Amino acid sequence: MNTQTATVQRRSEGPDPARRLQRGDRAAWDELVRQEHKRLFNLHLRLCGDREQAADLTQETFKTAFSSCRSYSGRGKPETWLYGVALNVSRNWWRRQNRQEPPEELGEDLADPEPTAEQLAILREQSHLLHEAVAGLPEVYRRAVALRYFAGIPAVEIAAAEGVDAGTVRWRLHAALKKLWGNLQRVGLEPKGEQL
Amino acid sequence: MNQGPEEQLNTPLEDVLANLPEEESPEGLEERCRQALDEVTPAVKSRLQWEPWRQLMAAAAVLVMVVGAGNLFTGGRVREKIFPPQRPRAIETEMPVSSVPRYATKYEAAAPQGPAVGTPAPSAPRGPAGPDQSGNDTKAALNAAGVERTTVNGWSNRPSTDVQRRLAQDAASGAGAGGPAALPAAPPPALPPGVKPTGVQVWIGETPPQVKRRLGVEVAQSSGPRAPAAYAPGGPPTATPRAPSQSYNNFGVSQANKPWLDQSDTRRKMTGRSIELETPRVEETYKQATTLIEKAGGYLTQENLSILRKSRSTANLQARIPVGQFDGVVAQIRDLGKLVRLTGESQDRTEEYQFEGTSIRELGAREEQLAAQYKAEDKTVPKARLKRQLEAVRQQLAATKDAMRSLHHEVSYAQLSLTITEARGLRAIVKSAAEQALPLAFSLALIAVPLLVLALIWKRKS
Repeated sequence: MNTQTATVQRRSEGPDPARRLQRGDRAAWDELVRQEHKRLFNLHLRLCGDREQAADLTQETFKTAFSSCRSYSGRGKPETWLYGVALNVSRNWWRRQNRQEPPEELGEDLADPEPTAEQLAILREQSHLLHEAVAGLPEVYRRAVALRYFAGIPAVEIAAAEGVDAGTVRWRLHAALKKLWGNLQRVGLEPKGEQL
Repeated sequence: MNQGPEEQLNTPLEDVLANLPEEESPEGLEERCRQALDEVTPAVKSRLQWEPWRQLMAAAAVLVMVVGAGNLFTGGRVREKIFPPQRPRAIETEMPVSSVPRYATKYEAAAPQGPAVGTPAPSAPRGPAGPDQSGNDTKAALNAAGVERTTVNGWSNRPSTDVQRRLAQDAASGAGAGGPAALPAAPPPALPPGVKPTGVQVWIGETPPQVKRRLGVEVAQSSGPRAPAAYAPGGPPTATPRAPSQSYNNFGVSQANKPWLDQSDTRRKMTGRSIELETPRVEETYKQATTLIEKAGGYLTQENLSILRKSRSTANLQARIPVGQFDGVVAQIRDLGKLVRLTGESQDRTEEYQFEGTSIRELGAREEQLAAQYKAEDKTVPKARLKRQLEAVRQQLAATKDAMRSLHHEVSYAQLSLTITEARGLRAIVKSAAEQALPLAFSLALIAVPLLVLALIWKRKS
C-alpha cells in the first residue's frame, strides 16, 4: 500500500460515512462506487435494456451524484439517495431519446396480477419480457418499481426520499403491478393457463 | 436483490421482480466510474463556509420575528421604542412656561376658582353652553386623536396697539356721562394660586362678561349662541379682555352708549360672512388672519386651533370687525389661502333701529315731563302716583336703551366666521395614507421577512 492509498484509508475512517459523502470525501465516494456500481448497472440495464448504455448511465449517475453531493441531506441511506439520482439520470436519458411517456391513468379493465407457476417460470427465464414491461410503465410507476424491486429499497425509505407518504408509495406499487401485468400480456405473456 | 426486513413481498410477481438474475457489469466499469468522479469537483467548500452564517441569519430572523410579533400584538409599542416618533415641528417652537398665557391653564384652573353661578359643571369655570363646552369637547377629541401639540398664541389674544391707544384715549376723556371704563393697560396678572402652567395648548376664547360690562358691552343683550351664562362675582379671572372698550362705528360718531342720538338716514345693516380656506400651513394662516382682524379694530369672540399630527389640522375663529373695515379684512383674509367657500348674509335693521331711537326719545321726553310734574306737584297722593309713573317710564327707558345698544353693536360690528383647514393634495393624501399604513406594514414586515429568510435557509438545507 503506497502512501497515497494509506492517506485515503485514514481519511475514510471517519465515523459517519453519510457525512463524508456529503462533504465530498473522495475515499468515501470510491467506496460507494465499489459497492454500488454493479447494482446501478443492473438498474439501468433493466430500465434501458442496453448494456453499453447502462454502463454509460451508471458512470453519469456517479458523476452527477458526486457533483451534487451537497444536495444529499445525510438523513437517509446514501444508496437510496444514489438510486434517486440514478432514476433522474435515467429519466433525462429517456427524454433525450424522445420516448413518449405513457399516460399515468389506470384503465378500469386492469386486472390484478395472478400469474401461474408456468408463467412465473417463463418470466424468470426470459427477464427481457419484464424489462420491456417495466419500460412501458409511466415514469412515476417505473420509478417506484425500480426503487422497490430492482434496488430493494423499502417503501418507507422510498417515501422519505420522494417526499411522499409510505401509503402513496404502496398504492403506486400496487397500481404499477397491475399495469405491469397488463404490459406483460401485451408483450407476449399469454393469459394464465395458456402457452406463451 | 436485498429486501428490507420490515417489508415482505406478497405476490409471486413481486418475488420474480425482486429476484431477477443480476448481470455482470462490463469490465472496467468501476474504474470508469472513479474516473468520472475525477472530472467533477463538488462545490462543498463554500457551503461549509456559509453554514455558520446561515445559522446566525436564522437566529437573527427568529429574533426579528419575535420582535415583529410583539410589535403586532402590542399595538406598535415595540416599534416606537426602537424608532421613537418624530415630534412635530410645532413642539420645537413651544413657548416657555413663563410666557404661557393665563388662559392656557384654564382647564387646570377650574378647581381653585370655585363653582360659577349658574354653571352646572363645577369643574368648568365657564357657562354650560358656548366655548367652554366646545373647548372640553375639543380637548377630549384632541387627546383621542393623539394630538402632540395645539397652540393658541398669546399675542393674538391681547388688544392690538391701536385698540390700546383708543382705550387710553377713552380713559383720558373720562367717558364720564355713563361712558365705559377704560381697559386696564396693566400686564396680565399672575397665575391664580394653585394653578400650574402645564402648557395645555387649547383655549376657546370668549371675553368674560364682567370685562364686557366694564367695557360697556352689554352681555345680556349681546345675543348669540356664544354668550356665556351668568358668572359668580369675580368669576373667571383668567381671560384677557379682547373687545375694545367702545364701539367705533362707521358713522363718524362715537355712540356706543347713546346711539339714539344719531338720527341720520344711514341704513343700518347687520352683516355676516363665513369663509372657509384651505392652506398648507394652518397655524401661520391663523396668525395672519388674527393680525388682520385686530389691526382693523376687530376682536375675536371664539377661536379654536388644532394642529394634529395624524389628521388634518384645523382652525376656527369667529370675530367681530367694524363694518367700515369689514370688506377690506374679508378681501385680505380670503387671499391667505385657497378659498373653498364664502357665504354672506345681511339684514337691514334700519327700521328697528329708528323705532328704538324714537321710542327712547319719546320716553326721554315723557320722563322729563313726568319729572317736571312730579317736582311741581305738592299733594301727596298725586305725587306718589307720578312717582310710580316716573319709575315705570325710567325702567322702560333703561330696557329700551339696552336693546338699542345691543342693536347698535350688532350693526356696527360685522361678524366673520373663518374656518381654516389643512390643504389635502395628492401628495398629502399619499403621505397620510403611508403614515397610517406604515405601522401595520412594519409589523407585518418584521414577521414576513424573517419567515422568508427562514424558508430559504430551510430549503437550502433540505
